[in-house]
Amino acid sequence: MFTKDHTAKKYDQDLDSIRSRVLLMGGLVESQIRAAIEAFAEGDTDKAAGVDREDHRVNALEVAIDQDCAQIIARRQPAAVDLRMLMGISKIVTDLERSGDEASKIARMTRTIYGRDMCRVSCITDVRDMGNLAVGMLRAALDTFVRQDAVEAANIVREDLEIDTKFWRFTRQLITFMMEDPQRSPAPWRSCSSPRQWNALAIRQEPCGTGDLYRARHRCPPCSHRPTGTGSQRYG
Amino acid sequence: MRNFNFYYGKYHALKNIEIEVFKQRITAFIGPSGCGKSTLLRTLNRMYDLYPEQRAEGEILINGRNILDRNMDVNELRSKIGMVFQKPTPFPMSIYDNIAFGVRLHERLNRIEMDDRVEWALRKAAIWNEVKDKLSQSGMSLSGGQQQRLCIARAIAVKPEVLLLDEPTSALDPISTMHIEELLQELKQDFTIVIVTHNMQQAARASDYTAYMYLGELIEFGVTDQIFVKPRKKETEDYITGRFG
Repeated sequence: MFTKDHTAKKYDQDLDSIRSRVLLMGGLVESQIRAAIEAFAEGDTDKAAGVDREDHRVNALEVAIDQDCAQIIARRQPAAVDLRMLMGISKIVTDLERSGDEASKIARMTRTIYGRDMCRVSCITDVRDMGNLAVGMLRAALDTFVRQDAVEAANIVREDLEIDTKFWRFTRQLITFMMEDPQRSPAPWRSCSSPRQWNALAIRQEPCGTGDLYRARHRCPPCSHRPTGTGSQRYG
Repeated sequence: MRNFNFYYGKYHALKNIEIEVFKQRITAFIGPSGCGKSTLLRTLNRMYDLYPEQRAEGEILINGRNILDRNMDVNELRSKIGMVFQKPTPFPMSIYDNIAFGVRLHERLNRIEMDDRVEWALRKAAIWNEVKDKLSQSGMSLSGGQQQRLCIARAIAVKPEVLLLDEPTSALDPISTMHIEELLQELKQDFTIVIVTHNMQQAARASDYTAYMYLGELIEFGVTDQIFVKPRKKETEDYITGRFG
């Protein structure tokens, strides 16, 4: 990734180790989200319980990576590209951990919806599409991290607009559905919460992208399409 | 400095240096050994004049005057540009006389005025409280950190405009180093400071501007925050991140 190695080989090893574990954490979160999508779409409560159980591994990785970043800063006093990378990683692992939390929330909601023998929710395809979009953004963000590609990282930040649009369309659809059949409102309203989680997930991927940007450029592009706050703050 | 070149005999040690050192700011020069940073510092008060085979070309302008001009009074120049060296070099005389010695060369002060000047310099160098009760003792009796602050007091006693420091803390322990760095922040209110250091973290901590030199060339000069967070040149980045050699 870099044209030259550090004179201190141990420094290179420490940085490589942190980078590898960020990718490992990203992979875990990606599989968590995928499993949550499948559990929701298929009504598989066992799979949903598995997503929830896996969350502690992601949390433990966040703590370990954060500690290692602090140790390198204390011992090596990194500068320039190394400093930017460590600061970026510190932001990225926080967002990955929150993405894992959102996947867990989706899994818990799936268990609530299907576990209490509620009706099957409508618009599964739309929900799955939003989920896949969020996973795609996460994977792309991790790719830009590996390649240190600031241009692609900026593109991912812009992609958030698409998932916002899908979320709005889906919310309108569910509101119409609830107005037509108020007796069945609780389940659709819960399924409305899932897209909200997907949207939150996508928003989490956006900072992952901006974390990459931070490393690559040390400046974040303006996110004019996202007025204020997170998805849940805006729509909740 | 404009289009400045320096030669040790036939060896071209500094090449086309262009740099503006800002008033009442700390400018640090960093770079590997032999890159020319100490040479550059020595040209700022024409120390090289002592060696006939060394010569400088170009311009070094201070208040609009080229100090390389043959008509420039070197003694007057050196009263305006004080210098502190790597190893503390107190004179083998009392603490009081260490300060008064340089002042007597440039000014005629009566006893009271001289006392005031010695106290002023020692206070500025943040060593007054430690030596005020033993001014008649030898300067050599002080610790390394105190000796270096005494040398700084000696340099500023003649009220120079510029203070040059050539690796002033490389022979000191971390606590004395911190005292000197803290002192520099105080002194920059009154003086323009140029410091050469091998300690990159010291440059990052203590300076406002940083210049990176390599093989006699000025590779990059900028605000210290920018140099240490996002340098423009790859060579600078390689050096400050330890990807050098």
